[in-house]
Amino acid sequence: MRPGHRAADGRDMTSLQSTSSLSTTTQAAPSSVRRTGIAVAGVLAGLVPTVFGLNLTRMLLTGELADHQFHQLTGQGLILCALWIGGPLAIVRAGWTGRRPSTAAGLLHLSFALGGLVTAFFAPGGGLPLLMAPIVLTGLLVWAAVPLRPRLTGLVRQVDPVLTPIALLAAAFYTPYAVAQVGLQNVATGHHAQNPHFSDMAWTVVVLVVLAALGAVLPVARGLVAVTGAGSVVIGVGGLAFGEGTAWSLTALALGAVALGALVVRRRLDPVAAS
Amino acid sequence: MRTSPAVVAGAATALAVAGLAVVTADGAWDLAAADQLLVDATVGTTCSLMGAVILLGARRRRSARPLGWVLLLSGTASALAVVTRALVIVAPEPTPTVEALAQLQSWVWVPGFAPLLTLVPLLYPDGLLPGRPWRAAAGGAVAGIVLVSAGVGLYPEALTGRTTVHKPVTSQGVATVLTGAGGALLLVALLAGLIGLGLRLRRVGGMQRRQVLLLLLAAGALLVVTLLQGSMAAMAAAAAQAVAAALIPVAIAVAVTRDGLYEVDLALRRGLVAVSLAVCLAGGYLTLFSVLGTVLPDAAWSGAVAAGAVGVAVQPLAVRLTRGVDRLYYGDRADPYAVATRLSARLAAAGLDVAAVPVTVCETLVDSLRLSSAGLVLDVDGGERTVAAVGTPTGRPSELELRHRGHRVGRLVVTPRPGEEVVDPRDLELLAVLADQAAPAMSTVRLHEHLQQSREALVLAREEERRRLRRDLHDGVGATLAGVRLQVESARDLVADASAGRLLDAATEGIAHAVQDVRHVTDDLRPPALDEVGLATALRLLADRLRTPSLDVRAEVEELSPMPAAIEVAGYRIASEAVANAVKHSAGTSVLLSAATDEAALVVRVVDDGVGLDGAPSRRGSGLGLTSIRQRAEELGGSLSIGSGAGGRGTAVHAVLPWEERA
Repeated sequence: MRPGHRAADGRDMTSLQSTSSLSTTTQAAPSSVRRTGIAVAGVLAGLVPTVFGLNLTRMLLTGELADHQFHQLTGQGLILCALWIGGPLAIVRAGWTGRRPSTAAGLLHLSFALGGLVTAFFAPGGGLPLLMAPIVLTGLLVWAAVPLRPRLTGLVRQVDPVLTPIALLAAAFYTPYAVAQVGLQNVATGHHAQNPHFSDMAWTVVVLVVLAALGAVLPVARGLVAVTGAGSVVIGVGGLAFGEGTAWSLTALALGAVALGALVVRRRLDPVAAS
Repeated sequence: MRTSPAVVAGAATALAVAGLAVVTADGAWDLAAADQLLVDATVGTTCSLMGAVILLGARRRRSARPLGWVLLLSGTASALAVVTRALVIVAPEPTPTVEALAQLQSWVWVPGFAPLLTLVPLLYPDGLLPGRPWRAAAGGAVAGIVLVSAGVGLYPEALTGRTTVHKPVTSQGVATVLTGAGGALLLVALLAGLIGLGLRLRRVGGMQRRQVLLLLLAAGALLVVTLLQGSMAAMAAAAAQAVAAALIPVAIAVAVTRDGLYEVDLALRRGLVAVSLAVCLAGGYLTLFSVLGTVLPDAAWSGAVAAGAVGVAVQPLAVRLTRGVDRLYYGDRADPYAVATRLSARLAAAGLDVAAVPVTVCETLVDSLRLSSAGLVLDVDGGERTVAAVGTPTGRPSELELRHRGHRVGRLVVTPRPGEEVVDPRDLELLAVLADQAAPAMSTVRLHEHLQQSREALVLAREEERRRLRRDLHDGVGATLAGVRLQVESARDLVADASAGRLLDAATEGIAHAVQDVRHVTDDLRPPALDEVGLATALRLLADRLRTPSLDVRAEVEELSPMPAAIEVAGYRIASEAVANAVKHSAGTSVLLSAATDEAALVVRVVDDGVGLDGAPSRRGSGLGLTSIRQRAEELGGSLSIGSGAGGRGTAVHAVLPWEERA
């Protein structure tokens, strides 16, 4: 409620004289050199996932490689591209205006890169280690280019009683799947040996699980649970639409819906944490 | 030994989950007979848990226990229906045990489902019937449930899962009679329940009305979905009925948690911690088991190591989850440092309006401690004034004095959390600390108010004095000089001497200069039009003066009430500056100037249809003018807002200049 408004129970309240109009806050914009650096780093970091995403969207719409549509939508496809580009994009946006990027953006970027490195370590086939090199390098460029980096130390940790069980359920559901996908990649032959479909799926779900866990533990990163929820919903819908197991797809869908619903409820219950 | 409702609910939930697991493991979800499991499992878990919560929490409100028992028994019966139906569906052949289970599952869903539309509406929300006549309806509901259960149990209908299973005991004739009689009783009880809810809705108000309305909507949705069962695809119909059935316990849960019905906070908190911990442990175990399975050679080893790791995590996780649940209910009461830091940070935030300080304090307290409301009352000369109120008060209010440097500044009024009668002493301890922290800020607010009032008084007095001075100069010195000048000119006409004539000419010229100077002085004191034609006409003349062929400047000015000189001047200056800005920078085709007196305030509004503030780079030059007119409004205790015109186009300047005495 703002000054001069009426209280919720209708009590009269006297308004006070405002002075805010006379005060201004200023924010130092980065120099043109810095902005050029940010733009270059942003373009380098976002180019590959953007091209991948557009190409996969085209394939999805045209029905090219129709037996891979689930992967086109999820693991090797749009979810992976969204996770790939989401962190750098948020950091670049904040850096462009001179703001400090959010902790959530930093964690999203780090989770994606570290998840990829771990997956590449366990499933080196299919060229994933090669792909990690530009991802890590362009990511480092982005972090070097922005004037302020996301705050990652000294964060308050509060185990959330609603989101933590959901994060662990997600872990219980997706970990066996990730393990299985890594196994499939390691024994893949032919087309799949050259193309990391399976390890990409493992990478994607590992990142989703890590994001849910971070959101459950760190109040400043609660929003990351929404990424997990949305990703899981897309995986579930994709599974149902493109012939993955019905029970597995329904579970993924339900998990995503529960995560999103819990986040909404959580924010209503705890407005302080939400802010 | 008494059986705890929590144990019954836990067992019912376990049965329902086990039934679903059996069907999932068998891959039998594709069978048509499995559809109904969704409904029974939903009722089995949600109703039994809600019943247990009410029974555990209603120790101080024993009247609520019948409703708790109805929900618990309903959930238990449904859970039994799930597990028996699941076992029959997956059975490979019809053994006698399977046939007995088929007989059981055929009727046990009735006492699970039927109470949701009969007994629950009759007993909700306080566990008491709406009145004595409703006893017959409740009795009829119980009798109807018994008769229908017996009837459908005896009905000669086979259940087809993996194999077709027939019931061992059937009688179509008896089943028809019992089902018909029971169905009639249930129909009467259903109508009675809905009418009872409708009557409660009319009798009660406020929070109770919302509670009743919520259940009425949920029951209505379940009734509609149940009636539409035949017109939908089987799986969709079952899913819809499951969702609708869940709405009943959800509606009760909302009333319990949000409105504090039954005062079950403790039970809910413990239940939430238990559920959260159980799910965390299960999830952690399964995750670790999956990961360890890839590195350890034996599944038994993986299981043992995972169990050990999870066991180690139980205690610290339980502590943290308990803290988290407490935080959900009580905010940061257990962490005063966090609340104090938050309050300090919000008060120290850059650009915080002094006027927003009281509201910021109240919002911080309400958000941080989950209080239903907080208000700040400031001591002013000989009285007090509410300067902020956040939230909707419930329960008994508590007050804390705000003292700064030994003097009372005001008081903080808080009400307890929804569902609590009084503010907890532990909350009051923390609030006392926060009140001490807020007191200097409130003292500053009061000083700011005094300063503002003094400023207003000064401006008002200055402008009144200027008006008086202008009148005196114009009517006194000015008129006198004009008379003298006339006399000197007359004398000049009578004098023949050339030298005297030159002197008189010089005197006339000097007097004319003096008259001019006086006019300049009076014009500078106050816009002359205000005294000559009044504010309303002066504003109309202003619009006429600035109108051009390419820009239509119009004035809509009502007859204005008499007002202090300072208000007149400020209103005129603000209108002049705003219209001049619009003419110079708007690039529009029309400007509308309107003015009116509203109670004890002058409202001036200038709207153009131009490019707006964002769209006019040249408008940056008008910043000084806008600051100036804003200051004019604020020094009189008024306000000035600048935004977009109608439809988001152009610019609208809106000034309100009050002149009433503030309490």
